[in-house]
Amino acid sequence: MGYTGITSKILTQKKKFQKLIVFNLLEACQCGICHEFLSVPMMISCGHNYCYRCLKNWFMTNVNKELNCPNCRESVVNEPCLNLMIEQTLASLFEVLKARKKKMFKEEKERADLDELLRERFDDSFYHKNDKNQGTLFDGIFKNSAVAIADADDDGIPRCSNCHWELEPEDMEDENICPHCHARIRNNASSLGNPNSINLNGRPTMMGNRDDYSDGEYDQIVDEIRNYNPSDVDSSGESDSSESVGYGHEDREEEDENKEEHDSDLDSFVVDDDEEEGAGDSVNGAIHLAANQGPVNLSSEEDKDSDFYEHHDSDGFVSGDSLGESDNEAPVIQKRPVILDDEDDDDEDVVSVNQRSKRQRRQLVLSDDE
Amino acid sequence: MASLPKRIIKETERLVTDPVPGITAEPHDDNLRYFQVTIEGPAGSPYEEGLFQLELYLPDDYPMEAPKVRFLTKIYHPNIDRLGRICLDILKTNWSPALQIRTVLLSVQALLASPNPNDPLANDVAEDWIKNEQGAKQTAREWTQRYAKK
Amino acid sequence: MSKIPRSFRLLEELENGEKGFGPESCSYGLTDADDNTMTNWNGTILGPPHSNHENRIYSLAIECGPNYPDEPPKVKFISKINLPCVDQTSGEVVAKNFHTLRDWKRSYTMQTVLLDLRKDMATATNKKLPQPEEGSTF
Repeated sequence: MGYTGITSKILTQKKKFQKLIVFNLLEACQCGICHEFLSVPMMISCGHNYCYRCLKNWFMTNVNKELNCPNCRESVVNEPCLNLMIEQTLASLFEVLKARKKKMFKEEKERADLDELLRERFDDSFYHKNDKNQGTLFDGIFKNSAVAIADADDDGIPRCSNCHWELEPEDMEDENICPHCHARIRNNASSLGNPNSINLNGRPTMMGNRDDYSDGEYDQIVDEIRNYNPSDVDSSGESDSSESVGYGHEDREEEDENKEEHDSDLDSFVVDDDEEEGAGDSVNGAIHLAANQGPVNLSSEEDKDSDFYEHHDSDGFVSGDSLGESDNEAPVIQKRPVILDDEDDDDEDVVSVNQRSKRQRRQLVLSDDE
Repeated sequence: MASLPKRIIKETERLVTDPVPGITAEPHDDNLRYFQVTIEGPAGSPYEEGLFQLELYLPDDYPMEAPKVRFLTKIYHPNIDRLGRICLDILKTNWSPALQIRTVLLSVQALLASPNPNDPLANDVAEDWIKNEQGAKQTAREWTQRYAKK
Repeated sequence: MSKIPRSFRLLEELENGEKGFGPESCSYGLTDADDNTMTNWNGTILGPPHSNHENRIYSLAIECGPNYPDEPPKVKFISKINLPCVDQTSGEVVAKNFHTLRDWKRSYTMQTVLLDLRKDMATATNKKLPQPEEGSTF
């Protein structure tokens, strides 16, 4: 048993329970503006994430107002940054969808929709990369605007960070622009030191949507979650059907916090990355990979139909991953082929490493029991 | 007509599959950005037992721009004027693209439950409301009976 | 571009009229501030300079029917005026004689109509036309 802790518990839960978890995770990966899966997710300092394109659009509308988070309304003083974890998680999700397209999407229209979505995501990556290259992220708004700053040691009056002009609340009512240098003020000068957090109802909740479950089923699942008792879980692997879970390993070995034993405890699905682009990374990564590749057998009566992943050979799939290959371009994400194990073969060597990888990710490989 | 953004399609579908209690919103067949809306008056308010007709339109820039909403049914309320225009911050300066049709309509319903005569749109009504709240509420009840009867 | 429904379009026009956006040479507003169908409107046109209309203020009645702005409004002068496109008994602007109404586009507004009428008053042939006594009405 290679898994311990919560991940292990989750992987041995009933399918319904797992579905709910997957559903909630997928919901959490939606953009609150376009209601699609986040595409080039950018994180604001308050922690909320939006697609780059959506957030840029939002900042560029109402040009006379402060910049704020659509969800919590917190002022956006600092330039949002790329949330690589979500980016990579979704990149691997779409890789799988692409690979399983024929199986998952029976209708022509569904496939066309998926293709379009992939194309849009590709465009969005390109759009972001282009803005970044040009130095015009968010239309340069974080370069060309100012912030209201009140220095308590001075006079405590909010002033424009650009020209030090006093920002009187009455001057800022109609437009959040410095009356002197005409710079747009990113935060709300009048509520300085008193961040107004208006609670917006109607955010997607973390609970699943009732409509996705039949009568009673949903409540039952919720009850199960509430009454969940770890000791109820039967994790003895007696069933014929087993899932082999192998995982790649990312290459952070140069960082102390990433100890090996640590890694072996982690479960893999989560995509990981490394900002460093050292030449030795991929080699080291491969070594680690081999060292950590113990198969994990999970079994339960519910797992027989698990066909979550299947073998595929990245048939011409262009994902966000391949976008980052140009040098010194931000997140370079490389993909390894997703592993297939249709033969119920627990061979650890199935994992191949893309030698170009500057970065590798762990992944969950499940055997296909069909 | 340009194709409808996916977000609008999703919102519309969800309004049907997972309706908000006391609120309906259906797009017109010939204009999918234009919704026919009904809101039930909140219990305990002078608008209780009333069913109010509204119209809602999603402009081209939605969700960067707020939906346009208007009462079609006459209503006596300090924040709703004679043309049915609504004084509600989230429809104007406090709009956020994280809001959506359902949350906007819930906010309108909440406005019926708690009028704000200090930020009026209909000044005469607001004055009445401040000077003689009981009388104003009675008028609101009468108007509900007269114009918004289910 | 999607089609903004009649009512929201008229509310936009009302707001622009109230805020006094646009040129000062014409104005318009709801006839009855309580009419939530927003059908009947008043308009005024300030006569263009260097013409027989100079310094005159013309009042008009504009009716935006249920199919506005897909269909043009009905426009009628209340103040008497001598113009080829205006019916001399009723004061109505005859659509087939006035290009803005004849070749109506959805993007046109009441302001478009008023400004184009004002331009029509100032054309070389129309600006010299003898005008009825100021202040008389149809």
